[in-house]
Amino acid sequence: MRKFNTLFLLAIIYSLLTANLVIAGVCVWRFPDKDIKTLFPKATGYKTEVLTYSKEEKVKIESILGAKLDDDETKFNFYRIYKDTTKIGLVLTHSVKGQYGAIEVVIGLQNKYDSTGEYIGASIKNVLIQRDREVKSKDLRSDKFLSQFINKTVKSKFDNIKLIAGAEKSSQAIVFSVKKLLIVQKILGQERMK
Amino acid sequence: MIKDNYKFTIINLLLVTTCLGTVDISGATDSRLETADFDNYNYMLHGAEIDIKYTYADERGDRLITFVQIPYSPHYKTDMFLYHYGDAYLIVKGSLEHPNIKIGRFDIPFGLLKTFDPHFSLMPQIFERSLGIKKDIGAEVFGYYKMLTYDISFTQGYNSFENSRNDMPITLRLGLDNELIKCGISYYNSTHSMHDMMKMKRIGIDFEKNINPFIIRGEGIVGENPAGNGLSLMIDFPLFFGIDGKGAGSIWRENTTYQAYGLELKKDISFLTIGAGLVREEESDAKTKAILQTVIKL
Repeated sequence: MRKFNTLFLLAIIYSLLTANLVIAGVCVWRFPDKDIKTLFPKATGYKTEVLTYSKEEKVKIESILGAKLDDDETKFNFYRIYKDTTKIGLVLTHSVKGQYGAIEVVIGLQNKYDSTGEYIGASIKNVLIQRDREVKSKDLRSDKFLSQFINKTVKSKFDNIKLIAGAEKSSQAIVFSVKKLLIVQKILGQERMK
Repeated sequence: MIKDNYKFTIINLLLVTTCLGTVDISGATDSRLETADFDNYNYMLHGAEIDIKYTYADERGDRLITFVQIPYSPHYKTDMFLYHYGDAYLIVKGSLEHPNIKIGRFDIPFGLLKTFDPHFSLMPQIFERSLGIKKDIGAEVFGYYKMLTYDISFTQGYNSFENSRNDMPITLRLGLDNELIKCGISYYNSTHSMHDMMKMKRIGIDFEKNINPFIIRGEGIVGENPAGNGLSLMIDFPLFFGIDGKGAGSIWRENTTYQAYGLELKKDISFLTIGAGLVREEESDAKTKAILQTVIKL
């Protein structure tokens, strides 16, 4: 019995020591298999990566965003989307405070190229709301509101997004969340690849 | 026996997990100060847990997910504690819209247990009475097709609550999941040729409906051996200053009638959640519990 307990303890210690650890909370993608068909109809699979940031990366993100990251925002899940073995996009998730509680935002990103064919960064393919408790939920989830984000990049202006009347605070929260994810993608995804 | 089975499962999964890529680690502690009938105060570290998740992917996407929860509580009776804590499983992920396989120790997919995690809830849950089991060791096939979800699990039945009769249970759930409603129908049968007399059967219907800003969840269960039926209903609602409320009530009729109802309030402040609850349970006698809770999530 004592031997068994020692083995149990050793297995835990060994596992923790040898792991490449990422610690703390993250907004999960609740319905990947369902959402992926809406965001990337040709997708056949996805690969999950959990990314943390360095102090320098945090400063960069916060300076572009113009706001601090939340205390519990210590890592981000990157879901790389595949069609067979080819990468066709990226999905990011984020939880933001709305008027009646958390709103969970899912964005699908695709590569964007300029007229000469040069890669200029990621642009939004689509935005989904995976969970919310907003009274104006239907309007916030509507194509009319969410389609305004399509093709936006990290350099785009967001102040031309028309907010939902009566749900300005929550609409603004979604705008902020999408903007934050684009910046996080640029700093943690794009810049690291350089 | 339960304890060793559980540890053995964890060792196997940790060995599978170590350690070719990034391991995602999170954790939580749930401390509660309870008073029954406002008489004695009782402090309990309800549970501390380290959750370790590892995902293995090949060139086409995620293929294998292992999840191990290492729980600890100095105050809980060991068996009771392990009924509520200690997930340790491996998921073999199929391609999109194909079935996935889960092997290890997990929540059985019956009723609201499939869609609602009562892990940190202060409200009594009906599964303790209706099923007498929550987590069990075995295998599950699950997936979705368009708006439908399906689950079938075969487990040991060793992780039953005291006095309940679960032997090699089979659990099935067929669900509908769209923006209007989540709902499902579940079937549970603890079959074993040696103990035919003891077959416990349960059929349940569950739903979750957003009527924003409220979320309403409920389930109705009937069954035999022992014959019983019951209902449970929960309503989540937002209050002021970011405080979330939950009202819940449940009734289970077997040889006696058990009723429970209560109210809980919670407030998230970064890593910390502060909760307060008032619960009344009535069976042969009645008791009222007041609970203060702090949950720290890392």
